[in-house]
Amino acid sequence: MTVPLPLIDAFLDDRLDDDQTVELQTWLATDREHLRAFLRITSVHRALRREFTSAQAHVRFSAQAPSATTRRLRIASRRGGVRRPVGMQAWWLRGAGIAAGLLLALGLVISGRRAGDDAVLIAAGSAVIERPTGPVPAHAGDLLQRADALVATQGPVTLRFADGTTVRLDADARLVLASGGSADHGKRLELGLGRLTASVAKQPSGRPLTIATANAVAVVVGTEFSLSSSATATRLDVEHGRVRLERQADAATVEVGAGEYAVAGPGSALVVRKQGTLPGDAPLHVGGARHNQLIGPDGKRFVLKGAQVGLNQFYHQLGSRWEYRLLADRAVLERAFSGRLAQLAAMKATGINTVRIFVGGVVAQDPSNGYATPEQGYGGFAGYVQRLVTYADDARNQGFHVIFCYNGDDAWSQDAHWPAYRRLFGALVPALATNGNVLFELINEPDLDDREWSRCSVRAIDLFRSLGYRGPLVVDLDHRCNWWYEPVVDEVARHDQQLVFSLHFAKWVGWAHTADLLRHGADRPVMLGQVTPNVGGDLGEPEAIAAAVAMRALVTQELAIGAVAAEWNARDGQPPTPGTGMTDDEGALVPNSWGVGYRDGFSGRLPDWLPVATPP
Amino acid sequence: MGTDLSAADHERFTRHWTLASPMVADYISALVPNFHEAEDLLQNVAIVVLRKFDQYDQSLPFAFWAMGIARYEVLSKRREFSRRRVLFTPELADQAAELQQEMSAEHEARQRALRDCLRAVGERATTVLRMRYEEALEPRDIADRLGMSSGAIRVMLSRVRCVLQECIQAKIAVADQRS
Repeated sequence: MTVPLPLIDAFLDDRLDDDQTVELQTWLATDREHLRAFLRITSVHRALRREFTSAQAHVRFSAQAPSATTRRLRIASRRGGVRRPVGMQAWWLRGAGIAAGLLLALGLVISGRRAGDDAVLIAAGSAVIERPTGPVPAHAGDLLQRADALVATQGPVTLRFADGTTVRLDADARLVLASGGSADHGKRLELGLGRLTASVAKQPSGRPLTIATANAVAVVVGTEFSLSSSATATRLDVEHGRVRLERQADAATVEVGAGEYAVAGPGSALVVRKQGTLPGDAPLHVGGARHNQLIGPDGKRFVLKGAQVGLNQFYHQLGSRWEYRLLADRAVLERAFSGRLAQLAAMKATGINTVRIFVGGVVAQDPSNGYATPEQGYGGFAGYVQRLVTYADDARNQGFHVIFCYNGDDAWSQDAHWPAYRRLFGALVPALATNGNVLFELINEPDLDDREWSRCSVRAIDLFRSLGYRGPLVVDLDHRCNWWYEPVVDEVARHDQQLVFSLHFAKWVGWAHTADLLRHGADRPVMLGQVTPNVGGDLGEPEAIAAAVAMRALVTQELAIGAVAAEWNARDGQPPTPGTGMTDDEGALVPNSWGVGYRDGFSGRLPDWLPVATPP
Repeated sequence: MGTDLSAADHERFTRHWTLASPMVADYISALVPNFHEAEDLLQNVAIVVLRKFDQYDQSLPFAFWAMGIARYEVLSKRREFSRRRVLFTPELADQAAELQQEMSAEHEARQRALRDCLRAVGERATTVLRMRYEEALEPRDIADRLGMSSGAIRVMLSRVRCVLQECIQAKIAVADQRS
């Protein structure tokens, strides 16, 4: 018998393609001994998992009565070790222990004791359980008990109560199984910062599930809903049933029904609103027959007409090349920021409906993500976030959409930069929870290979979703990807459907890529053709405008949206003018320009195959 | 939910499930290689088995009944998990369940043999095994950490599993001869 090991290996790594699946399926069905051989090999896979996780498995039920042995195990577990004490190595004993742990969770309900409410199964995910004795890694089957705090460390983690209630905790969220209260209380949870989604089985009469945040308490009898908690506000979205939301500050309450939401926080009225129907609270979404259009609040196709506003309203200044530095003169910032309303009004008069703003300022040269300190007069990180929120609210009030784009480039894939990314959006997204006109662009033009590009995009998408942002996310595709875009589009689009792919060009090769991508991605989510005047670096400014027009025609024809993003320099407040300057290589800002020009490789004319259209 | 189970039934369920759950876990793992999915499914099966315990026909082996529930859960959920074609048809899943029960007597011996065999695995391979099986990292993530290609990691894992399988079979054969 020849065993097709490569196929079995691919199965174990969960990477069998369809053809391989059929091949292996055929082999398995041919002979019962084939199946037996397959089961023996896969049993090694399972046994290795069991062997290498046995320390954690023991921790699962050690919480009941920690002994010296289990304390040692817990320490070993925290260090990532799998050392087992002598006498604890029989797999069936551990298996029985796991089963006993599981049964403990189930049994508390079977026997009718109310204590079953604080026993929870972790059904999936990566998390840490914080206990008075220290943090322990959490695994499927773990029991949570009163006063345990669960922190989802990477992806989402799902809890299941024995009554069938499930709670999905998004990444970085923290949930405490509240202690105290009488035995007749229902389940009591405390959500720290972060977001959870729950499907709650009908709770016993008089014993509702309650979830408290810093700002509010949600009282649930049985429903599906999500709850997002930030430092300043808590948002409740109800899918089915009804949930009562009580604001902590003044005990004001509202009943939130299916398809409704409410936000509890200081300074805003505690009112129930319909999801996605009020101006300013109705984000765009990706839809249409081919799922390739941006749909506006009115249910019609929405065309973004974008401009990019300068960074010096937000205390970063473009320096030479890709360096960003603190604006030296705070007065410039204040002047620019105070002029935002006039600037928005001027943009609106030209038909622009969307502004794109770089945020973060993490570039390779600035890994510290150096926000100006309060002592410097810029308000530090909090001041920066507040400035962005204020701008977004002002923009919404004038009917604009705002795209916040992380300015990170190739530093994105470096783990050292990830905390800064998470910190910024962890503050910004919840703070903008009530502004439905905000979109987020994962990052500007990362200089990564397709695999890293996909990996980082998926990671960032997970972060935004975990923070409660449901709208479209913009994924950049640009010339720096010196290979094809298609793998990125495929991988990322498989992960999330609310995506806008944004095409950036600064090199000639981008056009060839685009043609392929358009053919490849005709049924993909929306393509946003974004051509910035830095195309002029290659093509020259007049050609950049022509290219933008051509791009718009091409994208509109094949897909949904064409958009021209142009720099709108905040210092002079004037719209871009074709033919005016580029930023020079010494870093001096030239009005109406963006970025630094590339001077190489332009042949002086657009390719013949590119349809050039007249601007509408 | 089985909230009406008597104390005697509860004790009976506990005893049955304690004995059957390792076999059910192995069966699920054979059909679903992803650890997290398999562990998630095991929890689902446990809850369903509990809920339906009052329907359990005691003339049948409990493990057989529980694996029938596991089979149903796997086949219905696997399609949700997987983006690709599912390997196990209902017929193959049935056959796997039968074989799994036939092979259940081997489980303990195989796990014990694996532990012995692991002692002979080199340090680098053990590191890779630990990342794969303790941390549940994908081969490409392991490759990133170790500065190797993901292909090299896959080959290493395949070889180690193969060597371990042969080692386990040899030890079981020796044990059989002795007995």
